[in-house]
Amino acid sequence: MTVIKPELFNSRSFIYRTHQQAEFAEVAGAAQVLSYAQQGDPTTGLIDLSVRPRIGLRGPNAEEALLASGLLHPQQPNTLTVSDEGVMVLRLGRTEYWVLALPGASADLDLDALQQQLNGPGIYPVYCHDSYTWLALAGENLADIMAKVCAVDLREESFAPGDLVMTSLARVGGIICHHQMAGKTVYSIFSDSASAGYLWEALLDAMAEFDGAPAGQNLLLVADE
Amino acid sequence: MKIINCPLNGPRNSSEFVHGGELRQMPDPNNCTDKEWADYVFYSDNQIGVITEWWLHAPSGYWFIAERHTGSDEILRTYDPSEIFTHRVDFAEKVESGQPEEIKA
Repeated sequence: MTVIKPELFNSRSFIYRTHQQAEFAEVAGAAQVLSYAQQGDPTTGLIDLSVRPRIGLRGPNAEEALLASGLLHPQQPNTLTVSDEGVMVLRLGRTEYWVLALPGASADLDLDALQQQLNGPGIYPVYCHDSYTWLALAGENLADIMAKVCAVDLREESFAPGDLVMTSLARVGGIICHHQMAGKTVYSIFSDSASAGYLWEALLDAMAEFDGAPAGQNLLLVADE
Repeated sequence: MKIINCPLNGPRNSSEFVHGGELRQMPDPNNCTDKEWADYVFYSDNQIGVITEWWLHAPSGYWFIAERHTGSDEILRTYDPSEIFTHRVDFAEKVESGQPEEIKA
């Protein structure tokens, strides 16, 4: 059996070289980190989900198309929904939406087919895959970690699950999305792919005092006992 | 740090914002003179008082309008551009005059 490595695929995460000790699985024609082999699951993990599939759309008729396709529509700007099938929908501003396949999304979810379907006058595709890195911060002390790099109050009282903020973190622009997976608090962070390597290092540095460590997507699928 | 109240994202540090210049009536770009266009693009009044400006919240790519006092630098009000721009702005087709415009130094 071939050991899956990022180098086997043309499509790779922007920071695949940092995942030297990781186990991978194929996701959408690229290698996704499942876990870091030489460690148990950390209480707080930083996970590179950059290769996971996602699509975007915007325009005056985007909301209508989204509702017609049966996706859960976030009612307010800067909020998100997560469906039982593992589809996360972000509403960025008033008329822009991203549709993302979370780890553990059902296998028959085909976002490319959905992108074809979400088409028509007043709907414009938004490219958000290779231009954005997707990092997930999961576990405990997330608000304390983010307070070191971000000026917005991300404590639970003002940043509930289902909220998202577009702000600057560690001095780069980014989107921070609060959702839950496997009983853990998760902050999904989207930022320009050009700053992926920097942001990965900056967040790991901020996490260090809280025993944070790099992890794989298995951390988001297995609940703590 | 100064706080600017973004109509979409709420109060944020001013470092997240980019100034977009004073909101002014755009002359018809197809038919105005070069002088009128240059005046629109390059010159601003620079007076003391409350002015209406474009601002960009860079992390979300959201443009909005702010009313700011140029003396105290206080931002009095911010709002979505849809309050002003209720319908699409269109301009007339270019009228060919046949004569090149005179350019003075």
